[in-house]
Amino acid sequence: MKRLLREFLKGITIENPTFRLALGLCPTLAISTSIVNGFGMGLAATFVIVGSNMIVSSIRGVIPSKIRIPSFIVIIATFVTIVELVMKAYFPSLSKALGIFVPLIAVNCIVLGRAEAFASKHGVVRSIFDGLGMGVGFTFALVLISTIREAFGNGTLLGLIIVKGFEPALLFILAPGALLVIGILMGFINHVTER
Amino acid sequence: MNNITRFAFVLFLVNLIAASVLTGVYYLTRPRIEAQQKLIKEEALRQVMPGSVGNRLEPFKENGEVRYWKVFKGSDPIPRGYVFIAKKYGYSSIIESMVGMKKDGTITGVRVLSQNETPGLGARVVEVLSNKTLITALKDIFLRKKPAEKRLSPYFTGQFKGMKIQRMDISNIDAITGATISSKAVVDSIKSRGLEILGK
Repeated sequence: MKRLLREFLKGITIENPTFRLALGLCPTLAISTSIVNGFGMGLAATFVIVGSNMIVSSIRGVIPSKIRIPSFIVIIATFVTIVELVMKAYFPSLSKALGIFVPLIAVNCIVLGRAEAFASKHGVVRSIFDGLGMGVGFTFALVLISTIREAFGNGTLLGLIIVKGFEPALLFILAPGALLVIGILMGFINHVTER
Repeated sequence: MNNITRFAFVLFLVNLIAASVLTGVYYLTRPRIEAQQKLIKEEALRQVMPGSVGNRLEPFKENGEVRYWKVFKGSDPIPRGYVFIAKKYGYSSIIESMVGMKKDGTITGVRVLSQNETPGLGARVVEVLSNKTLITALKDIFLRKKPAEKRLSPYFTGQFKGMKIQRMDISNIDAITGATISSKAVVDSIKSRGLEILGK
């Protein structure tokens, strides 16, 4: 039980995909422009990571290692398509907001990274917890980054204006602003943890 | 050789299972997705064409495809206006919008149906600006006040309302900051398609 908890927590803290492993930065740059987008993307990615980890770990003995990568990609793409269809059917506004980024979860390197580095070597339960932790860690990072970007770049939080008359710094909404925010946060986290 | 056939067989199995799962999900969600899309279209129709102009829509077909709708009022055989769909490639996607127009070219409403522009920039063509600030929203929550519900519509397309299509141009509208190409695509698509229909 304690080991499972550690497996879950490491994705949020010491192996945080965004700040520690620096994985999945491409969708992070693109999607973290508003808190709603960041949170929605995080949840969708969590579902895909957990699902693909679960399947990959349960068939790890069956798939020959030479063709494991194409098999993993098929599994991941299947989960992404399921998410896309379900979102379109039941959460049309969210699917509209996330647009092209939902199909792009398939190429998010966190998903393939966890399938290859963790799920293909560990049991089903541990892999599910690893996926959950990674997903929550990714969501947390996305929300943190998008809060800063939305506040400075758009002058709003969750779509609500913070102070009237504040001229937002457009740079933060653009990709370079995302790099700056991620870089500063990463540096800050490293500085705190190294002490 | 033996290995290759084994690999091919395993990969085939993986793909077969994935394909059958997806087929199932597709058939389960398809009616829902189609209903959602129909709902969006119907709502857009109602928004772009107010009942005072006309209430009966008749699709105008060309080569078996619906090109636009003619809007009639009551039993009047002369159309009072048109509803059409304008499309143009913006910055990173085709921006598709539904437009309501009176016979003389006055725009009664515009609604963007689909776009995949840059989030935070071009995608703001559909942005709805809240009239609440963080402080008033928090006040509403703490004082348990029911916030005054007001139907908000996107401000970018809202400014086209009442404009004459002949005079519509990127120079006399407020374009979205940092997204001139997306803004221009919306304006240009509406103008060219609208003039085309009026010219017929």
